Amino acid sequence: MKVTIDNIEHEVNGKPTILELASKVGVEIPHFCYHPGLSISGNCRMCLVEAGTPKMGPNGVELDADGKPVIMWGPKPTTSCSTPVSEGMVVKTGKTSKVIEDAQKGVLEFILINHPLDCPICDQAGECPLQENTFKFGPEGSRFEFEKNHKPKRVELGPNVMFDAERCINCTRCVRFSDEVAKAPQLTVIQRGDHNYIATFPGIELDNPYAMNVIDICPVGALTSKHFRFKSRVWEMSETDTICTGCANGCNVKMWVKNNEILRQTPRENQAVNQWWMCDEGRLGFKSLNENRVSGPRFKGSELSWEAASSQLADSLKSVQASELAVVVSPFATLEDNYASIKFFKKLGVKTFVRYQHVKGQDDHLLIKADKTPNQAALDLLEGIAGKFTTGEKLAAAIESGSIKGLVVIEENPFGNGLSDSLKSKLSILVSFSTNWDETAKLADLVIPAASVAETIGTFINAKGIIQKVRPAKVLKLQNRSLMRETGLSRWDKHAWKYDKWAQPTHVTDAKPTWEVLESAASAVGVEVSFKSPEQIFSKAASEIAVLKDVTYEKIGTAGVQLTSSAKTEAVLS
Amino acid sequence: MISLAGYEKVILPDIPNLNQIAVYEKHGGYEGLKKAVSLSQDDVINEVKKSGLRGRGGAGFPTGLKWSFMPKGDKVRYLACNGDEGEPGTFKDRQIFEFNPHLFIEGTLIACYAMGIKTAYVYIRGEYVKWINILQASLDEAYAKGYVGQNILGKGFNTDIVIHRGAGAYICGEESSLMNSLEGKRPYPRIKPPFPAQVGLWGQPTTINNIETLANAAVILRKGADWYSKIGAEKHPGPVLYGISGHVNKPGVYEGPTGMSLKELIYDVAGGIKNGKKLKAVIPGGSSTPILTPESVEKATMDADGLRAVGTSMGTAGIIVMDEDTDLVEALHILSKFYHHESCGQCTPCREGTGWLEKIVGKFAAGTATQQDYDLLLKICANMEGRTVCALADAAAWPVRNTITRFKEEFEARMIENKNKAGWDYSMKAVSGV
Ligand SMILES: Cc1cc2nc3c(=O)[nH]c(=O)nc-3n(C[C@H](O)[C@H](O)[C@H](O)COP(=O)(O)O)c2cc1C
Ligand code: SF4
Repeated sequence: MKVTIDNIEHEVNGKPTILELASKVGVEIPHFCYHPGLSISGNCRMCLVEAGTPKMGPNGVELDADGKPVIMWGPKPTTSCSTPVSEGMVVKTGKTSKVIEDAQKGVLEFILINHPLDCPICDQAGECPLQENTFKFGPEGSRFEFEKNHKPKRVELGPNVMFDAERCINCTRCVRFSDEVAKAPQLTVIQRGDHNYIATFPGIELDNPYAMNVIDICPVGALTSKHFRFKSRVWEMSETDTICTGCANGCNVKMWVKNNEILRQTPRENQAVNQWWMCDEGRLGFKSLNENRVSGPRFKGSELSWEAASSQLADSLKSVQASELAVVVSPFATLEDNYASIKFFKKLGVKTFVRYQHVKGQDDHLLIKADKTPNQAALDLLEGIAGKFTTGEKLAAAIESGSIKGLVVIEENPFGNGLSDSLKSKLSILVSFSTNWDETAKLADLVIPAASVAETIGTFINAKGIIQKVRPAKVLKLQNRSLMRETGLSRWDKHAWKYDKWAQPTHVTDAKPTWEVLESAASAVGVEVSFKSPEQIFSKAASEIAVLKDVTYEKIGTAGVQLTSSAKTEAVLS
Repeated sequence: MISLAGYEKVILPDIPNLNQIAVYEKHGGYEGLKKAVSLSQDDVINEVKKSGLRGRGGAGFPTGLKWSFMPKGDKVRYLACNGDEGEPGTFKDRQIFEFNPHLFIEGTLIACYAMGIKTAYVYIRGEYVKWINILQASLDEAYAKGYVGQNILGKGFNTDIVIHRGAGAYICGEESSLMNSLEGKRPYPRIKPPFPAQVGLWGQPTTINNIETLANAAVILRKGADWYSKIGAEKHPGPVLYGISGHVNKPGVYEGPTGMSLKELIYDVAGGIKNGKKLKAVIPGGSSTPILTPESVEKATMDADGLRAVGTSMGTAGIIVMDEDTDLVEALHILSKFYHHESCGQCTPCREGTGWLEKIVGKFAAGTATQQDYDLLLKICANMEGRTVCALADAAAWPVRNTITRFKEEFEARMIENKNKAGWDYSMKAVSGV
């Protein structure tokens, strides 16, 4: 089927709406209430276009003197979000139609007459569709000279979401999201006319597990995050494309960082993984990446230099028989750290590799998985190299019986997951590579600070078998060049300013990726390994694991690759 | 010339206690239904098409054509009977509920038979408590007599009629909003397409008709399409209830043929202007229809063509008469307030435009408006008309546009010189103009 938009003819498959077709072929049609993940409401009237169809005569399409089809134009502008294209349809957007250009100006003037225009103190400024559309399509001023309507401000809709009714433009995206996607109908519009605004039903809070997505889809600053509001202007932060590691779903996210501190996390579209959404728990999970971090190596409570930590690690490992040493691998750590650890300790002669499960509740209807770990699927693959993993219970029994005398923990927390503190006294060494001060880090003799998922590069395989990559949103105290290359930058980072993450000592963790520490101790313990960068480690792993054979970092990109049992790979998104 | 002389009343005949089923039956009641069920469904629809009946709810859509849009087959489908009657100046469906409820019930049953509908909802304006009770009593009688319910007239045709009390907003009378309200949702109008005949109540094919329209359907089946189509204006035939209000000696609802002269209705039927005053303006079909000057009233006949010729429309035939003492600025201010208050607020131009119009008309009322305000009113109207989900925005803009242009002097008399023009003006080249 052929459809013409602004004098350019497009070949169309399927039956998209005018707006869907326009966005696919790169014609901008401004809109507010339309969202690809929600039902069509058609209320904002911003996406109006002129549309016409060929006039049909007795002998098919009627032609004019030039042999072109005669077009029957609709009697009035139509909403492109709700109008499907049809054969021979001709569409004019604001670029080619004065009527539409004026309609767009009119709608924006209307929206703004009762809008507080408080952009200078609004969190949404800088990423606000209303601001952007007004700039691009709006009138040059306002002819409204009356006092604006007043409505409730600073309304707590729920534990995480704050509402400003004066900024609300009644697009109902949030209402539709709650009904249709979260399946938690907690919001509605109340009042009528220009007194309209959204509210929760009486006695109900906006507290569903996906509630904070309404903040992202709000096209103005009416819905803001209680955790993020007034923390930073949008343009002062860097944004890094990475993934959430809060459960086995691996939702795609952007991490927003200022002064090397993560201030918020927002979902990033990936149709195969999380569409446009993420859960609130995952969204707020970044707090452990900022706080309570292990910074700088410690041995029995005293700080050490990294050199001293390396030799202490070697000494500790040499102090027990490899056969009496157990290594706890981690479904929270990257495939690369797990692979490097397994390789390192296998070479040392270790036979016992332990893996913990972390299952809580049930999978829900949307994204949340019962498996609260992001990378069990990678451990499944690595089991072929490590040998069958031992369970936590068996490990406890082996320590109890004395057959295991030394324990190395790689980014896991056995003492927080059923291993009794009393068993610590039966261990002659306890080494923990830890991101945070958890139970295990607190008990350990040697604590090696590990780079978190916000500071490293590495891969995770989600419950659907999609392999994805985390990228560093924050920098570590000691820069690692292989990590720096992928670190997200803000507009300001590139020019160096005072909140530059490279410049300030605050919020910087003194940690290293586990693979880097292992390599630094390798020669001292007499194992031969070469770990140079996550990518190099990944390609080693890929050469050993059939399903990873054709996968590369480049192919994984920011969208991930669906792994198949036949070892064939395909990009999930182009 | 069409006139009341010799006209026989069929919608509201002068028969006492017609709301009682025995009385109604005695005067030919339910004969139309009996006729209908002896015909095929398509024949009933064709009969209504042939009669030329056009909807009495405001838009004047041909009723038979509307019925024929309902898809065939055995999908569950509904009829929604629109008795919300919120349009200012309109109070005629109420009379049917009070004086001839069975005629409406009969028409509803005929519509259900013709379209294969098993459930009809009657959406009645919430304030109409008295009339809801009357209708309910009549409906109970009709159920008891076997006209409604299972196996109607022994023909194996089943239809239930359910009365639903409205939630009290003008917008609930808009057909798609009415459906949302019936479903228990916020009464936001729906975007069309899809039209109700495809996706209506609970997603099923639905037809929405005004109460008076359905009452007319019963008359058509009882008296025949040929008889019906000869009443009143040729292209817009039938009996119609004229609701005449305002500065007349005998305000009220009067039944007559369509196409009557507006003058006859005001001066003869309604007894002329109160206190012998002169006429200033008439709104012919409910507050949303454009206002007429006395010169236009002279020429106007009450049918689609006759009113189009003077730049207005039939609407609900609710005629609002205003005498020479009427302050049209204040009248428009009240109307603008009404539309501002009743805009559902779903779509931008109406939500924001209705309030803005009211505020500017308020400046005229307060005597502080300028020429710029006058021009701006027209520009705001242009940005509202045809840009919204439902017709309320048009209904709000037209009275403003037509009152300020047709009675321009009256508005000019309330304007002040624009002394501080340099301060700010409407020169914004970016905004559309008229
Ligand atoms: C704002 C608005 C209010 C309306 N209110 C009513 C009403 O109160 N009663 C009514 O019958 N139609 C009303 N209508 C018209 C209905 O949408 C619809 O056209 C009508 O009920 C169809 O019936 P008919 O074809 O029998 O005329 C309204 C329309 C609009 C736009
Ligand atoms: S035009 Fe007005 S009443 Fe109709 S849907 Fe839009 S806001 Fe609501």
